[in-house]
Amino acid sequence: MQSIHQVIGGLFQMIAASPHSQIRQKLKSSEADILPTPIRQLARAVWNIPSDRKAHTRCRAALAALVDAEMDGELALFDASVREHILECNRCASLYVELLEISLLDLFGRLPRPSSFPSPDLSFLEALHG
Amino acid sequence: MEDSWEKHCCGIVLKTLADRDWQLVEDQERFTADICAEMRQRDITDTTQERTAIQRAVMRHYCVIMHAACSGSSVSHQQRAFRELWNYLFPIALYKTHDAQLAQDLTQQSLEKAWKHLAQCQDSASFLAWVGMILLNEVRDWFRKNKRLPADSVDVITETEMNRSEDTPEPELNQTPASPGSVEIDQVINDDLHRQLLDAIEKCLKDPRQRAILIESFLNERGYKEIAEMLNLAVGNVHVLRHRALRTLRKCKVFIKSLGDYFK
Repeated sequence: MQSIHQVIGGLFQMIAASPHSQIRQKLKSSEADILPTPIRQLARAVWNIPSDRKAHTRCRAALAALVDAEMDGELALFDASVREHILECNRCASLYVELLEISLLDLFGRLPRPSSFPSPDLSFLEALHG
Repeated sequence: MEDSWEKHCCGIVLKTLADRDWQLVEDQERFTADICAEMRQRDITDTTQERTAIQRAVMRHYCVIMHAACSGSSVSHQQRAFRELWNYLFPIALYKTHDAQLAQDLTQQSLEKAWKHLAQCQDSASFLAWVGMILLNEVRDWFRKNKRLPADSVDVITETEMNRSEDTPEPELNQTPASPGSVEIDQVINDDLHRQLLDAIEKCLKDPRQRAILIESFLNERGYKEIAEMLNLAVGNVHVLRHRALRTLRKCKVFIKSLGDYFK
């Protein structure tokens, strides 16, 4: 009769030995460098391997300009590291697509126009001008 | 000929400014001359594309003026700039929330956030996209806090987006360069392992659009807009299909085995 600890231990071993875990580990390590870049990016996107925080921050800061570059047909000229991050990071890609979508709708006049515009409260500007 | 093109270009610039009620340009003559000079450098033959390119150029140039006005010392210019930002953002907020009061609140919060973080806008020519991103984050945060959408809302967007596109015809994939096995892919796929992986993708993904999207974005480095145009889909749908394709591959034994072979 196996103890509960043995069962749990066995389960952990099974999980660690599963092809998913093995591939995840390899994709996180420098072993992934063996893969050609597009395949590595695809695999990292499939297993949703998080990029390092710096790449994430850099991408968020450049997202608006990246959308504009795609709108202007100049995506290929944009910083490759940011483009690569978008391929691998589902969360950044999701925000990117939302922003691209509204930019396209706006450009082609397809955003529904409200019948009336409420007015903004600009009192926050007064803090500066006194 | 030159003069008539100049006139045509100026007309589009001025109409774009008027349609958007953008009034911060002080020297319109110079503004239009700069844009038309820039457009002249570009070799665009298609008239629709030319109009769109001019409108985009107006937006880029105007973004710089708007950004400067928002952070400048003139009270009247600053207020005008924030009102114009409001007019840009409010329809987007309404489109995302379908609730006028909520749209108003989120637009207001976005304006204040944009004001606080103006210095973080890295590229003033992309100012409108930058404030648009602030608004989208505000919308997401609101939905997340109010549990109206799960934290990862890709699948929720999925159904809405897919339903929205149901009336669009299925693209004829064999006529697009996206179809697997085309010449473009052969240039990238240059050994047996690559070929094997591509075959695995084909076996795992039954939907030809999903295959095309993965191949075009990862192997041919095309952007969402370009892929969307190729497949006659909305960019949101491309993202949704891409997300589904990645999820399917993660579960597909053929793909896992094929990828594992790279590491042997």
